[in-house]
Amino acid sequence: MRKVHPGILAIYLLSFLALGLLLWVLGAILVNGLPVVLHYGVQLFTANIPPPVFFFGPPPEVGLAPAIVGTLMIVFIALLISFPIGFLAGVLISEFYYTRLAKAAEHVASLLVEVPTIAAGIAIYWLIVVPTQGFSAIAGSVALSLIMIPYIALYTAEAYRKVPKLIKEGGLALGIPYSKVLFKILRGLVAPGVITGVLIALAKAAGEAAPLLFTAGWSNKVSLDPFQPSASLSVLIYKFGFSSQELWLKLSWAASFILVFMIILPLIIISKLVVRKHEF
Amino acid sequence: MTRIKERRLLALLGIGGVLVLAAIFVVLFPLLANSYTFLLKRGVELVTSMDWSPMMNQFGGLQFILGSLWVTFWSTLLATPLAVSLAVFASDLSPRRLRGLFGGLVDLIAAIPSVVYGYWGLMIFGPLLASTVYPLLQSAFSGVPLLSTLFSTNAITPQCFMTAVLVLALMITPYASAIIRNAYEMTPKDMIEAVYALGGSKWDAIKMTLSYIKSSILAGVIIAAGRALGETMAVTMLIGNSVGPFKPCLLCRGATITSIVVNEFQEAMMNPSHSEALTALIVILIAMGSVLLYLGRKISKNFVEAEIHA
Amino acid sequence: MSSDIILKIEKLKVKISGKEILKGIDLEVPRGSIFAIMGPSGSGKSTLLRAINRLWDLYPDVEVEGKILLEGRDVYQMDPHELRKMVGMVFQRPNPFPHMSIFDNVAIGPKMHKMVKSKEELERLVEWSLKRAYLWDEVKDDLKRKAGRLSGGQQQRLCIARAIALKPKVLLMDEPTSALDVVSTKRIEENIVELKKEFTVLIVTHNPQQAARISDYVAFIYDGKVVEVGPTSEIFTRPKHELTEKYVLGKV
Repeated sequence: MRKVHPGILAIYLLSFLALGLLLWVLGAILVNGLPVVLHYGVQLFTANIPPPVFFFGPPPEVGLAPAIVGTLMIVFIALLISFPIGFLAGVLISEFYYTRLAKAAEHVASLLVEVPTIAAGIAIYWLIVVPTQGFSAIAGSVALSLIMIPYIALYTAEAYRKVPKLIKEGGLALGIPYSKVLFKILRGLVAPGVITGVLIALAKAAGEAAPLLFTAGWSNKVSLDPFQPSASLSVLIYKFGFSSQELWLKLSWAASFILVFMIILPLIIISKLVVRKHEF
Repeated sequence: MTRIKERRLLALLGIGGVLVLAAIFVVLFPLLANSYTFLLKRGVELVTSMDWSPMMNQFGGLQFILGSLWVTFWSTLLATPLAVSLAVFASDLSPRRLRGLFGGLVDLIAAIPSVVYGYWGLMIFGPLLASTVYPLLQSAFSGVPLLSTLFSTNAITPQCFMTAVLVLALMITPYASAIIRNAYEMTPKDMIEAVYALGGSKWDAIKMTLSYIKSSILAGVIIAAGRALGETMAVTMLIGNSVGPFKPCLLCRGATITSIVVNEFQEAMMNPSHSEALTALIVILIAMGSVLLYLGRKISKNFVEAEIHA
Repeated sequence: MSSDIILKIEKLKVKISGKEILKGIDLEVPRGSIFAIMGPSGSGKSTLLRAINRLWDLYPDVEVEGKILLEGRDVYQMDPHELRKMVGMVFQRPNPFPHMSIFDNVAIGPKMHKMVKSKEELERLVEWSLKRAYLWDEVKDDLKRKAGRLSGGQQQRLCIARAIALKPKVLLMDEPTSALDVVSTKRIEENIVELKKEFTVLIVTHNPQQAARISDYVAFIYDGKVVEVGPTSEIFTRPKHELTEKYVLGKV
């Protein structure tokens, strides 16, 4: 029998331990969340969040719609804010790398990734919630955009940087203006990289609770008004997770399932497919 | 006239660049503006005292600072071997055809939201440990000097430093692992071949590679520590949230800067001193994180590269 | 030399990051000729080409001094986009837009410069260019194919087609065969000789044999200076300068 060095054995064991824990977490969400989702079915995606059973008796309808709609809306608005900023900054960082502004922007972007997300939440609380005297979905969106901007900027910069100089020069040598080379001709080449950045940023933002707790607030009813408070899946998991209500604990699992298996995982998988398709 | 179009392009892109710079001010300015008077007046109390009682107007937050450091230290310590193992496994030891898959799984650890880890720890992991592993640890180390204090507590609970540390260790592992894996895969092949040519084994080759990328490992570990320091939701849900004085103990309940902010900020909105104290703690947290990143840059020559890669 | 000079270079100096690469170049390129610039690598040949179509504009650490006259007009007073339309360029390594189709690679220049009025006209121009580049027969049935899927030699001929689709006055070629195999090189060389009928070609090569095979005039550049310039037959049979003689015999 071949002897395996104990060091290699340890590497295998630790790796399987970490991956085992990951599968445990995913499995727990699946086992506890999916049955709830299946039990309530469509209702879960359309009905409002039920009041506590304790006070009002069993609710006629049980849903997570306010949290689902809230997460989608908050993240979508955050994308509208962060994409133009991140994209333009990313192109700047790649194409005008020698300017002081580009260097500073790259530096700040990699710094922003390291800023604790709760800090963004508290900052936006002071900056927007206090002056406007109320929680709002859009305050949450601004907080999330602070988290998304650096991802979009750095991925965009990377996508443009990966295009060989020679190809950019090929366009310029045809007398095509630089802006058209960057935004039109290279579009197909950089799109996979930029889209990957956007999807990763979306996946990150969708799961964040800390920036939303004190900005977006809470609402039991579906609201599409960005200037009103809004629930979100991540905040719901936290809020209901500490509850003693059986139903709310179940809803936390269902929200975990929807967040991980129906929003974040698809985003991640699509981002991987986009990159794969790009390689020719 | 010739460069006008390009200047227009630069101006357009410049807007993005300036707004990215603005983003950091959007974070820092409100935090500083709403905490500097508090820091000037009561900053010393905040970082030296452990008496925290907002109702009594006492804002000693040292236990939260120490709690953050305590949690960061242990979770980083535990994450390091995990991260190194996963990096070696995913880039060297796993079947070649499955490497992409394993790499993807490691990245997936980072994709699961903090609050979901927290809920899993709260409902499943913590209770399980509290009924099995923790009592064993406590009795196993009860007579051992030093170690006994780590594991001594009056009442074992599912929510304690240990539960937060263990879940956090898993959560930060992929950040360190991604950097280590990247460096591992960039190691020159001929160096590894030289190890084999000298009659070395697979293990010798791995050891050689790891020593070659020491600097990147360190960078990865520091970045992971930074993530642990700022990690919020899972810690808040698992640490037990005790505002009492800090004890260097793993099975005790405790609090960190991030957990106290999440727990108390809502009620603090009614009390200016309270909300300013919590904001000041966030500023301190950012300062601690900056020191960590600064040290990282000093210690590891690959740090900036790794930062961007992470 | 012929009196009809299409391109005139006077006292051209180029500095890259403060280092002087070209140290005062004077050249006159006759219309309708193939003008080869040869010299060992690092002598500044490519630097010279990139000064002509002002590709250096994009690099902040490059300084260009002196005068370049195209049809008597100072290129540094022209709109760079108009200039680059008049001066086509083929690069050292093939650089088609890999994600675009063969057709689009050729069509993109004429479209952006609004040279054509109808789809039919564009199709005719693309066909014309691909035929001139000897690529038409190989790709005519599959113009929608991605350019990245062509072979290296085909990609380089596509780049020639892309450049001539703009009907430039001068075609700059920067060692266009250095990344290609012998067979592809031969085809491209034949192609260049054909192109002479319609364009003036300024070609950089580090291979004196290539210059001898295809060019009418040749300039030998060494260390940023023109050592010798004249009709190809003269330079290769009766070099005046010792360095030139060594170079054409392959001793430098």
